[in-house]
Amino acid sequence: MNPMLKDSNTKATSKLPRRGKRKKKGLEVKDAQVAENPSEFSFAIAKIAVAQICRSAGFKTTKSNALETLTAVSTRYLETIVRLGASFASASNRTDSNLFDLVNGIHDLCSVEGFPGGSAIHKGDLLRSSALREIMNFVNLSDKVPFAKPIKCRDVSEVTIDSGTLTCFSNQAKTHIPRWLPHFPEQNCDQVLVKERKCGEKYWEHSFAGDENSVISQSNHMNGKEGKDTRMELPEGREKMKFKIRGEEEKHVGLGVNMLTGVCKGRKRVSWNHNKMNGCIIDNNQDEKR
Amino acid sequence: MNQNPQSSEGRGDDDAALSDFLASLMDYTPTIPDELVEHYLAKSGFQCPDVRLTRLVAVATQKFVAEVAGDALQHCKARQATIPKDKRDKQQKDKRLVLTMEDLSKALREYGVNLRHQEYFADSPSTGMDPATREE
Repeated sequence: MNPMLKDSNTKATSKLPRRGKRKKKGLEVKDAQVAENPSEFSFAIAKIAVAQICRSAGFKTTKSNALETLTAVSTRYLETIVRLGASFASASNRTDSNLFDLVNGIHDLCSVEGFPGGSAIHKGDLLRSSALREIMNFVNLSDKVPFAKPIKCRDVSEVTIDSGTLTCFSNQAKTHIPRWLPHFPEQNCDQVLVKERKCGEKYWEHSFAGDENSVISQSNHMNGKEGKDTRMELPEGREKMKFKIRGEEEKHVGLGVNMLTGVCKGRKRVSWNHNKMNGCIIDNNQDEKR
Repeated sequence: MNQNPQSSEGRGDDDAALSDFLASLMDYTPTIPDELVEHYLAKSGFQCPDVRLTRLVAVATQKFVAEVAGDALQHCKARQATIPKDKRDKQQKDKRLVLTMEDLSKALREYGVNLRHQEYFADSPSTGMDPATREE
């Protein structure tokens, strides 16, 4: 339903406002631009609608900058009405907005130019407000001008959420979830994601839970090359490592890892208690064995 | 829907007219398409499954734009009426009703939107040096 979600294919969707502009009745829209992002696409659609309204008001031609300005103002007007309605709803501890929230928002926006009964809007009946009645009269008296071109709706379920996350489609209709939110990934997606990681990286918990013996078996093979792969799997018995930072040559005891490339590259004082770290690992292994 | 105390009050012709109006919105097709309005609803966190409220937002915006455009049209006509007759003959070709920034800014000023466009483009160093050569 959301028109912006179908804008990933800009070529296909951008034809729509272009055709509408050409068809449209001599209004001066010279440049047929390709919408590069959803906001441009929505702006292009709103521009067509505003141009249609201007034509129904009696204008034959518009300057492009005037049309864009009026479109910007009108989209902000629409957004402000909606935001006011949503804020009124949330102030009433509701997530769903209703007609009263909308009428309150319309009142706030119409209060600039004023309307009959505007001095007592909080006392009177909202459903009898004259601002709403003016809208009713507008609908009854004005000519119906439908939008120039039907907007094709792409199915929301086809939309990919983000790179790196896997979209899973659930057939169950979850009514408590707002419609514009993407679908939740299914529960087994987590395992799929771990398998699909490119660099061979693993989660910390999987590195221990998956293979208990890997910590011990790889402890003897720790060297500089394997340090990247087994950086989370510390060996059990290691010697105490000391290094000095200011001006003196660094000593690497036990490990062949060049610490200059890692922790102390920024020449900052680092304290690392390996006994505790090893103790944690031993405890984890013991817990797992239990 | 009926969570406010106002809904229990006020019965009569107004309520009947309002209910008819809301029912008529189901069949009404506003100029601003529903998809565009729903995009802005989603963007602003307005959650309501009722299509009639979506249409009501579209209609309210359409009314605003139509009023602004109508006021700008009046400004445009008034501006053309003030042109002297001898010059008007020369500008007969341009007598088409054109929405310009000048009329639009006058119309929007009544709605609390102060709009000003730049008076000239400083596209060359000599621009603006001599005010007599400036058009506006």
